[in-house]
Amino acid sequence: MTPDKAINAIWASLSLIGLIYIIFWRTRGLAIDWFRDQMFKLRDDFFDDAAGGLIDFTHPAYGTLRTMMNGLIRYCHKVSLLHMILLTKLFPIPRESNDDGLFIRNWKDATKNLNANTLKKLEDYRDRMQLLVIVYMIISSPFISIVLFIFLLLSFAVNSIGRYLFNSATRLASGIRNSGRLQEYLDDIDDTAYATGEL
Amino acid sequence: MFLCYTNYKVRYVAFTGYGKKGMNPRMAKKNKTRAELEAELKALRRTKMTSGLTEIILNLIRYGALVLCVYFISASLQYLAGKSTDANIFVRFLGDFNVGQGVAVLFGAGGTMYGLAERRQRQRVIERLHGRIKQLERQIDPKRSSSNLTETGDTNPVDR
Repeated sequence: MTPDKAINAIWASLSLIGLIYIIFWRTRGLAIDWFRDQMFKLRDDFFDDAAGGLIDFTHPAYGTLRTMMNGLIRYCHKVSLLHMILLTKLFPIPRESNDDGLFIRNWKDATKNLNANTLKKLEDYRDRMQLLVIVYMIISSPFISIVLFIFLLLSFAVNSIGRYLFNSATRLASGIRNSGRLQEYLDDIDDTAYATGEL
Repeated sequence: MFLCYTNYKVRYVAFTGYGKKGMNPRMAKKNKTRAELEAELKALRRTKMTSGLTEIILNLIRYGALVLCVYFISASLQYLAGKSTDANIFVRFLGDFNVGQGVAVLFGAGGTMYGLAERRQRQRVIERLHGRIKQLERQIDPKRSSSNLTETGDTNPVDR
């Protein structure tokens, strides 16, 4: 190793410490904040729907779903992709094929007297909740978020290039149209379109 | 057996917070059977154990990566220490620092500081608005339950 390489190694290591801080601490913090914000939005929508007459505030189904939302908001910092993998691989629940889980049993009990429309809306909230959890697990994982970041950067670059090309083509077409060189041909197309088109 | 059950119950309250101030009053009212409580405890214990394991693995990765970086730095310094004096190392270190690197460091550090300042600003907004939202919602639903986050929307220290 030459002294120059040693200096470079120090710089690279210091930059890596900064990157590790951003990836392992700040990115996860951002994912937690994002998830909580989305869950609060979902809870607010649910509250508004209940206030609008969808379901009574004292109904057990409302309490169960809101409790779930509160639990996810409160403990989402403990949820991660690694946690889920460990939970399902190391401690699988020994369950009979016809045995519902703890939540499903309570959920069925709480929603048994609801009409189909209300139940559908409540199930929709549950689906949205689960979708958010999956997205959160993906974006809060440091390794997946690095891949996603690179992919987003690439897609942003491709998108920008595509938009630039499209705008250039539009400008070119506009220039040609304004020059009037193709006016006769365009008029012909208009005539044909008018003649063949139907109301 | 009774002691065991009481122990479960205490731990159940400690885990879920049911019966504590701020928890969902609708859920607290429901009288659960012993089988239900045991099933819930089993699920919570399972999650708790995995959370602990996950934390250990994540911390090993995080701090392991930091330790590795510190090792690289110390190894490079040790190499330089045999070649030049302390002052020389510092001069070389700064001498190697060109304009491009300086701009990159400023960009990275500035971006991080900007992000942190924006976060703080967002927390101030949450702190200002959350009480009002709570008060307005309580007028419609007096038994409104809470997520028990702090006033700035951060994780409650007791839940860490």
